[in-house]
Amino acid sequence: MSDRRQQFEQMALPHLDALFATALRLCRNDRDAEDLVQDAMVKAYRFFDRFEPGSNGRAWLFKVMVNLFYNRYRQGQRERRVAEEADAGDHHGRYTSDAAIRALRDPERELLDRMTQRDVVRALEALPADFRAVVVLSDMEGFLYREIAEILDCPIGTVMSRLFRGRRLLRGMLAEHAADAGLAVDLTAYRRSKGS
Amino acid sequence: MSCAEVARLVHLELDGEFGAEERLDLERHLSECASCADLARGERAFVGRLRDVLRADRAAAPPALSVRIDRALDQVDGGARVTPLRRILAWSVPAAAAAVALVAWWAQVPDGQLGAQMLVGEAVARHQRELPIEVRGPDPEQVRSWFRGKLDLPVRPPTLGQPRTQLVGGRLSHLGQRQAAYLMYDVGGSKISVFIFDPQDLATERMRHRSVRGRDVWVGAEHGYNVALVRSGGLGYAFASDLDEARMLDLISAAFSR
Repeated sequence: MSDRRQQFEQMALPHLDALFATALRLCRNDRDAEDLVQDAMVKAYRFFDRFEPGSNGRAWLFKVMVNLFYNRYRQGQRERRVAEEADAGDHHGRYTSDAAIRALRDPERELLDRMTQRDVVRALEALPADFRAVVVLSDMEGFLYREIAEILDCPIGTVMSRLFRGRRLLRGMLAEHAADAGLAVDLTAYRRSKGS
Repeated sequence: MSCAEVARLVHLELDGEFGAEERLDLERHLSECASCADLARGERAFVGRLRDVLRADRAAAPPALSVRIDRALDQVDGGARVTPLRRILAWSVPAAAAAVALVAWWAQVPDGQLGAQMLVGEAVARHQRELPIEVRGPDPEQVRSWFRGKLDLPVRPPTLGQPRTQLVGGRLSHLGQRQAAYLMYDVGGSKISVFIFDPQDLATERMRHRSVRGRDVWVGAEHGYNVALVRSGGLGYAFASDLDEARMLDLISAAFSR
Protein backbone atom coordinates (compact mmCIF):
# COMPACT_ATOMS: atom_id res chain seq x y z
CA MET A 1 0.00 0.00 0.00
CA SER A 2 1.33 3.43 -0.88
CA ASP A 3 2.22 5.82 1.96
CA ARG A 4 -0.33 8.25 0.58
CA ARG A 5 -3.14 5.69 0.72
CA GLN A 6 -2.11 4.63 4.20
CA GLN A 7 -2.02 8.24 5.46
CA PHE A 8 -5.40 8.93 3.88
CA GLU A 9 -7.03 5.86 5.43
CA GLN A 10 -5.57 6.62 8.83
CA MET A 11 -6.96 10.15 8.65
CA ALA A 12 -10.32 9.39 7.02
CA LEU A 13 -11.58 5.98 8.17
CA PRO A 14 -12.12 6.96 11.82
CA HIS A 15 -14.69 9.52 10.54
CA LEU A 16 -16.62 7.10 8.35
CA ASP A 17 -19.48 6.56 10.81
CA ALA A 18 -19.91 10.30 11.37
CA LEU A 19 -19.88 10.99 7.63
CA PHE A 20 -22.47 8.30 7.00
CA ALA A 21 -24.73 9.44 9.87
CA THR A 22 -24.67 12.97 8.46
CA ALA A 23 -25.12 11.79 4.87
CA LEU A 24 -28.16 9.79 5.96
CA ARG A 25 -29.78 12.89 7.44
CA LEU A 26 -28.91 15.00 4.39
CA CYS A 27 -30.00 12.48 1.74
CA ARG A 28 -32.82 10.94 3.79
CA ASN A 29 -32.22 7.45 2.46
CA ASP A 30 -29.52 4.79 2.88
CA ARG A 31 -28.78 4.31 -0.79
CA ASP A 32 -28.00 7.93 -1.62
CA ALA A 33 -26.16 8.32 1.69
CA GLU A 34 -23.84 5.41 0.87
CA ASP A 35 -23.17 6.78 -2.62
CA LEU A 36 -22.52 10.26 -1.21
CA VAL A 37 -20.02 8.99 1.37
CA GLN A 38 -18.24 6.80 -1.17
CA ASP A 39 -17.97 9.64 -3.66
CA ALA A 40 -16.79 12.02 -0.94
CA MET A 41 -14.06 9.58 0.13
CA VAL A 42 -12.92 9.14 -3.48
CA LYS A 43 -12.88 12.91 -4.04
CA ALA A 44 -11.05 13.54 -0.77
CA TYR A 45 -8.49 10.88 -1.74
CA ARG A 46 -7.97 12.44 -5.16
CA PHE A 47 -7.42 15.85 -3.56
CA PHE A 48 -5.57 14.57 -0.50
CA ASP A 49 -2.49 16.54 -1.57
CA ARG A 50 -4.42 19.73 -0.76
CA PHE A 51 -5.05 18.60 2.81
CA GLU A 52 -2.60 20.13 5.26
CA PRO A 53 -1.32 17.51 7.71
CA GLY A 54 -2.16 18.49 11.26
CA SER A 55 -5.22 20.54 10.25
CA ASN A 56 -8.80 19.53 11.01
CA GLY A 57 -9.26 16.36 8.93
CA ARG A 58 -12.79 15.78 10.16
CA ALA A 59 -13.98 19.23 9.06
CA TRP A 60 -12.14 18.86 5.74
CA LEU A 61 -13.88 15.55 4.96
CA PHE A 62 -17.26 17.00 5.91
CA LYS A 63 -16.60 20.00 3.66
CA VAL A 64 -15.87 17.71 0.71
CA MET A 65 -19.00 15.66 1.40
CA VAL A 66 -21.38 18.58 2.02
CA ASN A 67 -20.14 20.33 -1.13
CA LEU A 68 -20.83 17.20 -3.13
CA PHE A 69 -24.27 16.98 -1.58
CA TYR A 70 -25.10 20.54 -2.56
CA ASN A 71 -23.72 20.16 -6.06
CA ARG A 72 -25.25 16.83 -6.85
CA TYR A 73 -28.49 16.61 -4.95
CA ARG A 74 -29.64 20.15 -4.59
CA GLN A 75 -28.78 22.01 -7.75
CA GLY A 76 -31.86 23.66 -9.11
CA GLN A 77 -34.11 22.18 -6.46
CA ARG A 78 -36.96 24.06 -4.88
CA GLU A 79 -35.37 23.69 -1.45
CA ARG A 80 -32.86 26.41 -2.31
CA ARG A 81 -35.62 28.94 -2.87
CA VAL A 82 -37.38 27.99 0.37
CA ALA A 83 -34.15 28.39 2.32
CA GLU A 84 -33.42 31.75 0.72
CA GLU A 85 -36.87 33.00 1.60
CA ALA A 86 -36.43 31.85 5.16
CA ASP A 87 -33.01 33.52 5.33
CA ALA A 88 -34.52 36.77 4.11
CA GLY A 89 -37.07 37.07 6.89
CA ASP A 90 -39.03 35.46 9.66
CA HIS A 91 -42.09 34.80 7.56
CA HIS A 92 -41.55 31.11 6.84
CA GLY A 93 -44.85 29.31 7.28
CA ARG A 94 -43.75 27.17 10.17
CA TYR A 95 -41.42 29.60 11.83
CA THR A 96 -42.28 30.00 15.49
CA SER A 97 -41.70 33.46 16.93
CA ASP A 98 -40.24 34.32 20.34
CA ALA A 99 -43.72 35.36 21.48
CA ALA A 100 -45.23 32.05 20.44
CA ILE A 101 -42.39 30.16 22.11
CA ARG A 102 -42.97 32.15 25.31
CA ALA A 103 -46.70 31.38 25.19
CA LEU A 104 -46.06 27.72 24.45
CA ARG A 105 -43.32 27.14 26.95
CA ASP A 106 -45.17 25.14 29.61
CA PRO A 107 -47.17 22.91 27.28
CA GLU A 108 -43.94 22.45 25.33
CA ARG A 109 -42.19 20.93 28.29
CA GLU A 110 -44.70 18.14 28.11
CA LEU A 111 -44.15 17.99 24.37
CA LEU A 112 -40.42 17.56 24.95
CA ASP A 113 -40.98 14.58 27.19
CA ARG A 114 -43.25 12.98 24.67
CA MET A 115 -41.35 13.67 21.47
CA THR A 116 -40.00 10.43 20.11
CA GLN A 117 -36.89 9.80 18.08
CA ARG A 118 -39.10 9.12 15.08
CA ASP A 119 -40.91 12.45 15.44
CA VAL A 120 -37.64 14.35 15.60
CA VAL A 121 -36.10 12.56 12.63
CA ARG A 122 -39.25 13.09 10.58
CA ALA A 123 -39.32 16.81 11.43
CA LEU A 124 -35.59 17.13 10.71
CA GLU A 125 -36.00 15.49 7.33
CA ALA A 126 -38.79 17.92 6.49
CA LEU A 127 -36.49 20.92 7.09
CA PRO A 128 -35.10 22.69 4.01
CA ALA A 129 -31.60 21.34 3.29
CA ASP A 130 -29.74 24.50 4.33
CA PHE A 131 -31.26 24.40 7.81
CA ARG A 132 -31.02 20.62 8.06
CA ALA A 133 -27.31 20.69 7.31
CA VAL A 134 -26.57 23.28 9.99
CA VAL A 135 -28.69 21.56 12.65
CA VAL A 136 -27.07 18.18 11.91
CA LEU A 137 -23.53 19.59 11.88
CA SER A 138 -24.11 21.42 15.15
CA ASP A 139 -26.54 19.33 17.20
CA MET A 140 -25.60 15.85 15.97
CA GLU A 141 -21.91 16.25 15.12
CA GLY A 142 -21.00 19.02 17.59
CA PHE A 143 -19.10 21.26 15.16
CA LEU A 144 -18.40 24.86 16.24
CA TYR A 145 -19.83 27.80 14.27
CA ARG A 146 -16.48 28.61 12.64
CA GLU A 147 -16.08 24.97 11.55
CA ILE A 148 -19.60 24.89 10.10
CA ALA A 149 -18.90 28.18 8.31
CA GLU A 150 -15.78 26.59 6.82
CA ILE A 151 -17.64 23.39 5.85
CA LEU A 152 -20.51 25.30 4.22
CA ASP A 153 -18.30 28.07 2.91
CA CYS A 154 -20.53 30.80 4.33
CA PRO A 155 -20.17 33.58 6.93
CA ILE A 156 -20.50 32.70 10.64
CA GLY A 157 -23.52 35.02 10.85
CA THR A 158 -25.33 32.82 8.33
CA VAL A 159 -24.54 29.73 10.39
CA MET A 160 -25.91 31.38 13.54
CA SER A 161 -29.02 32.55 11.77
CA ARG A 162 -29.74 29.21 10.06
CA LEU A 163 -29.14 27.24 13.22
CA PHE A 164 -31.44 29.42 15.30
CA ARG A 165 -34.15 29.37 12.64
CA GLY A 166 -33.67 25.70 11.89
CA ARG A 167 -34.23 24.82 15.53
CA ARG A 168 -37.26 27.09 15.66
CA LEU A 169 -38.70 25.46 12.56
CA LEU A 170 -38.16 22.05 14.08
CA ARG A 171 -39.81 23.11 17.28
CA GLY A 172 -42.78 24.50 15.41
CA MET A 173 -43.14 21.31 13.37
CA LEU A 174 -42.93 19.12 16.46
CA ALA A 175 -45.53 21.22 18.24
CA GLU A 176 -47.75 21.01 15.16
CA HIS A 177 -47.28 17.25 14.99
CA ALA A 178 -48.02 16.88 18.69
CA ALA A 179 -51.20 18.93 18.30
CA ASP A 180 -52.26 16.78 15.32
CA ALA A 181 -51.59 13.66 17.31
CA GLY A 182 -53.49 15.04 20.30
CA LEU A 183 -50.32 15.02 22.37
CA ALA A 184 -50.00 18.71 23.14
CA VAL A 185 -51.80 20.29 26.01
CA ASP A 186 -54.85 22.28 24.96
CA LEU A 187 -53.30 25.75 24.72
CA THR A 188 -56.60 27.59 25.07
CA ALA A 189 -57.49 25.66 28.20
CA TYR A 190 -54.00 26.27 29.52
CA ARG A 191 -54.21 30.04 28.97
CA ARG A 192 -57.67 30.12 30.55
CA SER A 193 -56.35 28.30 33.61
CA LYS A 194 -53.55 30.91 33.83
CA GLY A 195 -56.12 33.71 33.53
CA SER A 196 -54.49 35.17 30.39
CA MET B 1 -28.81 43.07 27.23
CA SER B 2 -32.42 43.32 26.14
CA CYS B 3 -35.14 40.68 26.50
CA ALA B 4 -35.39 40.56 22.68
CA GLU B 5 -31.80 39.32 22.44
CA VAL B 6 -32.07 36.61 25.06
CA ALA B 7 -33.39 33.72 22.92
CA ARG B 8 -30.54 34.03 20.41
CA LEU B 9 -27.92 34.53 23.11
CA VAL B 10 -29.06 31.38 24.90
CA HIS B 11 -28.36 29.45 21.69
CA LEU B 12 -24.86 30.95 21.44
CA GLU B 13 -24.21 29.91 25.00
CA LEU B 14 -25.58 26.39 24.37
CA ASP B 15 -23.31 26.09 21.33
CA GLY B 16 -20.19 26.87 23.34
CA GLU B 17 -19.66 30.20 21.57
CA PHE B 18 -19.81 32.37 24.71
CA GLY B 19 -16.93 33.64 26.81
CA ALA B 20 -17.03 33.65 30.62
CA GLU B 21 -17.94 37.34 30.77
CA GLU B 22 -20.79 36.99 28.27
CA ARG B 23 -22.13 34.02 30.21
CA LEU B 24 -22.13 36.08 33.40
CA ASP B 25 -24.03 38.90 31.64
CA LEU B 26 -26.64 36.44 30.43
CA GLU B 27 -27.02 34.76 33.83
CA ARG B 28 -27.37 38.20 35.47
CA HIS B 29 -30.19 39.10 33.09
CA LEU B 30 -31.92 35.74 33.62
CA SER B 31 -31.73 36.09 37.39
CA GLU B 32 -33.48 39.47 37.14
CA CYS B 33 -36.11 38.61 34.49
CA ALA B 34 -38.51 35.73 35.21
CA SER B 35 -39.95 35.74 31.69
CA CYS B 36 -36.52 35.41 30.05
CA ALA B 37 -35.45 32.82 32.63
CA ASP B 38 -38.46 30.73 31.63
CA LEU B 39 -37.73 31.23 27.94
CA ALA B 40 -34.10 30.21 28.48
CA ARG B 41 -35.16 27.08 30.37
CA GLY B 42 -37.41 26.11 27.45
CA GLU B 43 -34.69 26.73 24.86
CA ARG B 44 -32.10 24.79 26.83
CA ALA B 45 -34.47 21.88 27.40
CA PHE B 46 -35.44 21.74 23.71
CA VAL B 47 -31.90 21.90 22.35
CA GLY B 48 -30.70 19.42 24.98
CA ARG B 49 -33.43 16.95 24.07
CA LEU B 50 -32.86 17.51 20.35
CA ARG B 51 -29.17 16.70 20.75
CA ASP B 52 -29.89 13.62 22.85
CA VAL B 53 -32.29 12.30 20.24
CA LEU B 54 -30.08 13.07 17.23
CA ARG B 55 -26.97 11.58 18.83
CA ALA B 56 -28.84 8.47 20.00
CA ASP B 57 -30.15 8.05 16.46
CA ARG B 58 -26.73 8.28 14.78
CA ALA B 59 -26.40 5.37 12.37
CA ALA B 60 -23.09 3.55 11.94
CA ALA B 61 -21.75 3.11 8.42
CA PRO B 62 -22.83 -0.28 7.04
CA PRO B 63 -19.91 -2.76 6.73
CA ALA B 64 -20.49 -3.07 2.98
CA LEU B 65 -19.72 0.64 2.61
CA SER B 66 -16.14 0.16 3.88
CA VAL B 67 -15.71 -2.55 1.28
CA ARG B 68 -17.09 -0.31 -1.49
CA ILE B 69 -14.80 2.55 -0.48
CA ASP B 70 -11.75 0.30 -0.29
CA ARG B 71 -12.53 -0.96 -3.78
CA ALA B 72 -13.16 2.57 -5.09
CA LEU B 73 -9.81 3.77 -3.70
CA ASP B 74 -8.14 0.78 -5.35
CA GLN B 75 -9.62 1.98 -8.63
CA VAL B 76 -8.30 5.51 -8.03
CA ASP B 77 -4.85 4.03 -7.33
CA GLY B 78 -5.19 2.14 -10.59
CA GLY B 79 -6.00 5.38 -12.43
CA ALA B 80 -9.64 4.43 -13.07
CA ARG B 81 -12.62 6.73 -12.96
CA VAL B 82 -14.97 5.59 -10.21
CA THR B 83 -18.71 5.39 -10.69
CA PRO B 84 -20.79 3.58 -8.09
CA LEU B 85 -22.11 0.41 -9.70
CA ARG B 86 -25.54 1.01 -8.28
CA ARG B 87 -25.76 4.32 -10.08
CA ILE B 88 -24.74 2.69 -13.36
CA LEU B 89 -27.41 0.05 -12.81
CA ALA B 90 -30.00 2.74 -12.20
CA TRP B 91 -29.43 4.33 -15.62
CA SER B 92 -31.14 1.84 -17.81
CA VAL B 93 -31.37 -1.83 -18.66
CA PRO B 94 -28.89 -1.62 -21.59
CA ALA B 95 -26.52 0.42 -19.43
CA ALA B 96 -26.87 -2.15 -16.65
CA ALA B 97 -26.09 -4.99 -19.05
CA ALA B 98 -23.08 -3.03 -20.32
CA ALA B 99 -21.92 -2.49 -16.74
CA VAL B 100 -22.15 -6.20 -15.93
CA ALA B 101 -20.28 -7.02 -19.14
CA LEU B 102 -17.61 -4.46 -18.23
CA VAL B 103 -17.14 -5.94 -14.76
CA ALA B 104 -16.95 -9.44 -16.24
CA TRP B 105 -14.41 -8.24 -18.82
CA TRP B 106 -12.32 -6.65 -16.12
CA ALA B 107 -12.37 -9.85 -14.09
CA GLN B 108 -11.59 -11.87 -17.25
CA VAL B 109 -14.10 -14.53 -16.25
CA PRO B 110 -17.71 -15.30 -17.15
CA ASP B 111 -20.42 -13.34 -15.29
CA GLY B 112 -20.70 -14.26 -11.63
CA GLN B 113 -17.44 -16.20 -11.51
CA LEU B 114 -14.42 -15.35 -9.42
CA GLY B 115 -11.33 -15.96 -11.52
CA ALA B 116 -8.30 -17.60 -9.94
CA GLN B 117 -5.95 -15.11 -11.59
CA MET B 118 -7.89 -12.20 -10.15
CA LEU B 119 -8.14 -13.86 -6.75
CA VAL B 120 -4.36 -14.44 -6.58
CA GLY B 121 -3.64 -10.88 -7.75
CA GLU B 122 -6.01 -9.24 -5.28
CA ALA B 123 -4.98 -11.47 -2.36
CA VAL B 124 -1.32 -10.60 -2.98
CA ALA B 125 -2.05 -6.88 -3.46
CA ARG B 126 -3.90 -6.71 -0.13
CA HIS B 127 -1.35 -8.88 1.63
CA GLN B 128 1.43 -6.47 0.60
CA ARG B 129 -0.34 -3.50 2.12
CA GLU B 130 -0.34 -2.51 5.76
CA LEU B 131 -4.12 -2.32 5.91
CA PRO B 132 -5.57 -0.86 9.12
CA ILE B 133 -7.02 -3.53 11.40
CA GLU B 134 -10.66 -3.07 12.42
CA VAL B 135 -10.75 -5.78 15.10
CA ARG B 136 -7.71 -6.83 17.08
CA GLY B 137 -6.70 -10.39 17.98
CA PRO B 138 -5.47 -12.59 19.43
CA ASP B 139 -8.79 -13.93 20.74
CA PRO B 140 -10.44 -15.77 17.78
CA GLU B 141 -13.81 -15.66 19.49
CA GLN B 142 -13.67 -11.88 19.79
CA VAL B 143 -12.68 -11.56 16.12
CA ARG B 144 -15.41 -13.98 15.10
CA SER B 145 -18.10 -12.11 17.01
CA TRP B 146 -16.95 -8.75 15.54
CA PHE B 147 -17.63 -10.07 12.04
CA ARG B 148 -21.07 -11.39 13.01
CA GLY B 149 -23.79 -9.47 11.14
CA LYS B 150 -21.24 -7.60 9.00
CA LEU B 151 -20.86 -10.24 6.30
CA ASP B 152 -23.25 -12.74 4.76
CA LEU B 153 -21.02 -15.62 5.83
CA PRO B 154 -19.84 -17.04 9.15
CA VAL B 155 -16.25 -16.06 9.90
CA ARG B 156 -14.35 -18.74 11.80
CA PRO B 157 -10.68 -17.75 12.14
CA PRO B 158 -8.68 -20.91 11.40
CA THR B 159 -6.15 -22.12 13.98
CA LEU B 160 -2.86 -22.34 12.15
CA GLY B 161 -1.32 -24.72 14.71
CA GLN B 162 2.29 -23.59 14.42
CA PRO B 163 4.58 -22.47 17.22
CA ARG B 164 4.72 -18.69 17.79
CA THR B 165 1.51 -18.12 15.84
CA GLN B 166 -0.78 -15.24 16.66
CA LEU B 167 -3.98 -13.88 15.18
CA VAL B 168 -3.12 -10.17 14.81
CA GLY B 169 -6.61 -9.03 13.83
CA GLY B 170 -9.08 -8.62 10.99
CA ARG B 171 -11.00 -6.23 8.79
CA LEU B 172 -13.65 -6.21 6.10
CA SER B 173 -12.25 -6.67 2.63
CA HIS B 174 -13.22 -8.02 -0.75
CA LEU B 175 -12.01 -10.25 -3.55
CA GLY B 176 -13.34 -9.13 -6.89
CA GLN B 177 -16.94 -8.10 -6.31
CA ARG B 178 -17.32 -10.37 -3.28
CA GLN B 179 -17.17 -9.36 0.31
CA ALA B 180 -14.46 -11.11 2.29
CA ALA B 181 -13.18 -11.25 5.84
CA TYR B 182 -9.49 -10.43 5.98
CA LEU B 183 -7.49 -11.98 8.84
CA MET B 184 -3.86 -11.25 9.57
CA TYR B 185 -1.64 -13.74 11.40
CA ASP B 186 1.92 -13.56 12.62
CA VAL B 187 3.68 -16.91 12.25
CA GLY B 188 7.15 -16.72 13.78
CA GLY B 189 7.63 -13.16 12.51
CA SER B 190 6.13 -13.79 9.05
CA LYS B 191 2.86 -12.19 8.08
CA ILE B 192 0.11 -14.50 6.79
CA SER B 193 -3.08 -13.07 5.26
CA VAL B 194 -6.20 -15.21 5.19
CA PHE B 195 -9.30 -14.20 3.21
CA ILE B 196 -12.60 -15.93 3.94
CA PHE B 197 -15.19 -15.59 1.20
CA ASP B 198 -18.04 -17.27 -0.64
CA PRO B 199 -16.35 -19.73 -3.07
CA GLN B 200 -19.40 -20.20 -5.30
CA ASP B 201 -18.45 -20.42 -9.00
CA LEU B 202 -14.78 -20.05 -8.15
CA ALA B 203 -12.77 -20.77 -11.29
CA THR B 204 -9.62 -22.68 -10.25
CA GLU B 205 -8.55 -24.20 -13.55
CA ARG B 206 -5.50 -21.98 -13.97
CA MET B 207 -4.13 -22.82 -10.52
CA ARG B 208 -1.92 -25.77 -9.64
CA HIS B 209 -3.69 -28.55 -7.79
CA ARG B 210 -2.24 -30.10 -4.62
CA SER B 211 -3.70 -32.61 -2.23
CA VAL B 212 -3.09 -32.18 1.49
CA ARG B 213 -4.33 -35.06 3.63
CA GLY B 214 -6.99 -35.79 1.06
CA ARG B 215 -8.10 -32.13 0.86
CA ASP B 216 -7.95 -30.27 -2.48
CA VAL B 217 -5.73 -27.19 -2.38
CA TRP B 218 -5.01 -24.87 -5.33
CA VAL B 219 -1.86 -22.79 -5.37
CA GLY B 220 -0.69 -19.80 -7.35
CA ALA B 221 1.99 -17.15 -7.08
CA GLU B 222 2.48 -13.48 -7.94
CA HIS B 223 5.30 -10.99 -7.24
CA GLY B 224 7.13 -13.59 -5.15
CA TYR B 225 4.16 -14.30 -2.87
CA ASN B 226 2.35 -17.62 -2.68
CA VAL B 227 -1.41 -17.96 -2.52
CA ALA B 228 -3.12 -21.19 -1.50
CA LEU B 229 -6.81 -21.75 -1.79
CA VAL B 230 -8.92 -24.30 0.05
CA ARG B 231 -12.62 -24.92 0.64
CA SER B 232 -13.99 -25.93 4.01
CA GLY B 233 -17.50 -25.95 5.44
CA GLY B 234 -18.91 -24.21 2.37
CA LEU B 235 -16.44 -21.32 2.65
CA GLY B 236 -13.38 -20.38 0.62
CA TYR B 237 -10.08 -19.65 2.39
CA ALA B 238 -7.27 -17.90 0.49
CA PHE B 239 -3.88 -17.81 2.22
CA ALA B 240 -1.26 -15.30 1.05
CA SER B 241 2.29 -15.03 2.36
CA ASP B 242 5.96 -15.00 1.40
CA LEU B 243 6.39 -18.46 2.95
CA ASP B 244 7.40 -21.18 0.51
CA GLU B 245 4.73 -23.49 -0.83
CA ALA B 246 5.63 -26.42 1.45
CA ARG B 247 5.22 -24.31 4.60
CA MET B 248 1.97 -22.87 3.32
CA LEU B 249 0.63 -26.36 2.78
CA ASP B 250 1.76 -27.35 6.29
CA LEU B 251 -0.22 -24.44 7.69
CA ILE B 252 -3.30 -25.45 5.74
CA SER B 253 -2.91 -29.02 6.78
CA ALA B 254 -2.78 -27.98 10.44
CA ALA B 255 -5.65 -25.51 10.08
CA PHE B 256 -8.11 -27.91 8.47
CA SER B 257 -7.20 -31.25 10.02
CA ARG B 258 -8.94 -30.43 13.28
